Amino acid sequence: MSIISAKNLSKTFQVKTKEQGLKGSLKAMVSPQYKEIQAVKNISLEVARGEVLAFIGPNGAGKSTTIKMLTGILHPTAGEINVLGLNPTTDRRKLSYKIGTVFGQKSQLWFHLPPLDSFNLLGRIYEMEEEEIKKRISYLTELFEIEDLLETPVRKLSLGQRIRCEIAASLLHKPEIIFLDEPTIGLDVVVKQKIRDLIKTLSQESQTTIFLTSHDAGDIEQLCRRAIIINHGQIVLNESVKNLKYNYMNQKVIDIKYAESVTIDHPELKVLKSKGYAVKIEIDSSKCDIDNTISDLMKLGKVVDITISDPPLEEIISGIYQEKDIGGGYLEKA
Amino acid sequence: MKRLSKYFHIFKVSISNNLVYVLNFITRNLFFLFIVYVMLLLWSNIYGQKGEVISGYSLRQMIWYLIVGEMVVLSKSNVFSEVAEDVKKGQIAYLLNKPYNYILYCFSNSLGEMGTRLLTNLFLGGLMGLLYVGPLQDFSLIHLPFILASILLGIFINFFIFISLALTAFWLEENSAFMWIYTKLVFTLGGMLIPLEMFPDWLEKVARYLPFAYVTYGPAKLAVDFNWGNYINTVFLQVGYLLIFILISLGVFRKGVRALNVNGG
Amino acid sequence: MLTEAKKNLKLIGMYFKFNLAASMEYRASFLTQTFGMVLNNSTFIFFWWILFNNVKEIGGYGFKEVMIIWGIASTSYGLTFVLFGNIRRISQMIINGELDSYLLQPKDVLINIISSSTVISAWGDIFYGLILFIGVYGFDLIGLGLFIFFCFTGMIFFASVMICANTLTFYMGDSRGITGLIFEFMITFSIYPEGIHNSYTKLIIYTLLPSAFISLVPVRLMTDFSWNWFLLLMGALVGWSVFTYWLFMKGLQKYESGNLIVSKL
Repeated sequence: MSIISAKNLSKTFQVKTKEQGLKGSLKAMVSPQYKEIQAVKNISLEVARGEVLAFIGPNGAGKSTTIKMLTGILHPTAGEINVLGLNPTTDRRKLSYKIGTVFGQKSQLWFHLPPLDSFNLLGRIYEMEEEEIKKRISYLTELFEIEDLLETPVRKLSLGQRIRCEIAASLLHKPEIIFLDEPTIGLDVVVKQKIRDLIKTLSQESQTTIFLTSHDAGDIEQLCRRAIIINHGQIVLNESVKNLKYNYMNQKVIDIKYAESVTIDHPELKVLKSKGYAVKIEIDSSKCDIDNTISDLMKLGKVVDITISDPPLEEIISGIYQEKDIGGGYLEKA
Repeated sequence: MKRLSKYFHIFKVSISNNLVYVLNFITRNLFFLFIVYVMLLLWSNIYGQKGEVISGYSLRQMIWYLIVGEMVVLSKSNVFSEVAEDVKKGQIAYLLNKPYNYILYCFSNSLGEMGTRLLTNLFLGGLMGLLYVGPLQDFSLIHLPFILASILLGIFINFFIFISLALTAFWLEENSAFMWIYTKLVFTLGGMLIPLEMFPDWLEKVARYLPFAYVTYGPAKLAVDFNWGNYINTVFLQVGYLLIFILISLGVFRKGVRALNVNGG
Repeated sequence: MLTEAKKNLKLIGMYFKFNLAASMEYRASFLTQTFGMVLNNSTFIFFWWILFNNVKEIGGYGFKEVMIIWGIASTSYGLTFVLFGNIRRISQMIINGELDSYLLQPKDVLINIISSSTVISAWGDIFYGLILFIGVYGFDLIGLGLFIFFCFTGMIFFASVMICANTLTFYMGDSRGITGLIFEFMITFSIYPEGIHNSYTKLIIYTLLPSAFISLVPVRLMTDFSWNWFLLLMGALVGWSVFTYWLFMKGLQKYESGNLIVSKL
């Protein structure tokens, strides 16, 4: 049974345009010029209860706009939405008791106050009983390991600490769905991993439905079972992460820096760049075992530094486009 | 020459920066129109009961006096909040190693802002004076450049007092109270709201020696009642106060930087 | 309707307690800002004191009446920003897309937004008005009761107009310039005697920018009570609040959540 469903959703913004300089400013004041930007074009999607869905796409693809429509912040230009049996546009307040949201770039905590104060206030805004607020705070504090942060004003927290508190705050009222918009944006690798683990625990422990946006391929791989990729406001792909991984995200990039000069001659590896002792290699993880490959590479010479990374999402998406155009692709490429 | 031209460039950039905010600019001018109109309402009522001349001012002179006073005060830059921000946010540390004097940098930066504001204020103020009450009787155009010089001196004194106060942010977390209080001192003892001649005698005597009067009262009085004796006297004191506050601002800055080095940013 | 009103009052009360506790964390800052504001406002006593040294009456008001309108205006203004401190940020919040978190909470959006922060120095305005009123009116329970009542009605007028001004941002983009101007207008015309007005300005202060209802009508009622004036005041109060709420809610539909970008061609 789907608890989020959207049909033919569209959102158009009117953007004021202005020519450069003083003359442009004056002109824009007298007769402002608008141009229409279609942020979301005809999107339809369904999410089932308990599902963890990744909603991904590069910056400006329309992810946030879609989330904002699903949560009732923005009114769609066209289309229908149903979240937990409610229409977010008209039943925004009713819906708000049942959903939680975290916007990576916008805070719901009071900047100058310690998170504990914000939690207490939010609990009251959601009309929870004093006792319940207390219980919930202590539960979430433990789960998110934020005991030490509770008394520190938010402005003094690091971004990673703040995000943990933000997520805890959004869960205070036991929402049935939680929307996470770019929860890992701007975080370093270690903290990113910590947040991912948290989200994992969350979905396992409480069966909360999670709707997550990201432009980080790593988030999706680790967290979700299904992914919807959007680009330029349109759905490009909607399938299980397993397939996605097998078909499109099988490329890994390995950067190795040796202490000496080496020659790489390996049938499964593609050398992208080689400069001095540093080599950039692309490998297809669906065909060869990363573990073995790395130990092979290590044997070639003394390694100074090594990193393994996913290609950026933009590349994956352009890969998807290519294959769609060619029609049936990845086999040909192989 | 090169050394001067960089300040000139900063000045030029700040002019074009200011022209961009057209809407802001228009509302600021509307405020000027509005506040002078309120003064006109108030003083017309007072003159209506009290007669032709109050403390040596006719209604016409009174309105022109107030216009010139407002002109000086409204031609200020945002230097207080900008400098206080720079210091509080630690931005100042990055500005210190640039090859210029911070105070001079702020001054040239503000010149554009103050200049554009003064130009429009002069135009608007003149227009309002003519429309609301008509031209002053014994006004001579020959005096205009001299009066302008005094107005500029008033604006500059105002600037250096503001920057001196803003720099206290080196020691104080919250220092905007100084700005409020100083502004209000200019309103009152500086004669912006009411000419010094209407004060009780003892207070008038005190106010004449304080710097606030040389921000607004000095130039405003010269504009409505020009005589060379008074002019030389006023400008002499204005230049004196200007030098004093330049020195104070440089001194406070030097001390502040030292405090920064000791305590860390 | 009634339970909704009760819920909103509860929300305002909750935020008030919360914000007060937060302000008290920084007691020194609280005290200096409050005291600084009292001092700041006091300078205007000086202005009127000098004026009334020269004339007996201005626009039908004596020194005492002017101080009473000052008291009511100051406390109304203070209450507005202590209880609804976020009013001054609505425009900016709309532009930056900061309304999101309020839209996601199960409370009335407007009340939730405006009450969620406070302005500490506004306490100074509250105290100043109160002290001033007791100082010139004397301590008298009925007088004080009326004073407090009118400060709350004044607050609603002031808050309504300022919310409307900020709400214009939904319709025309950045309205901070106009908002600033309206703010000055509302304040200025609530602290000058009614008698200085001509028929045009009088029309404005009773209709478009209802500053007369903040302080001038209350003073009229306190010196010479009439049901007609009282009902007019209450009618205008209801009208303005309803209109404000409607304008905000209508504007909210245009909210773009931070996507209002001016792009260069």
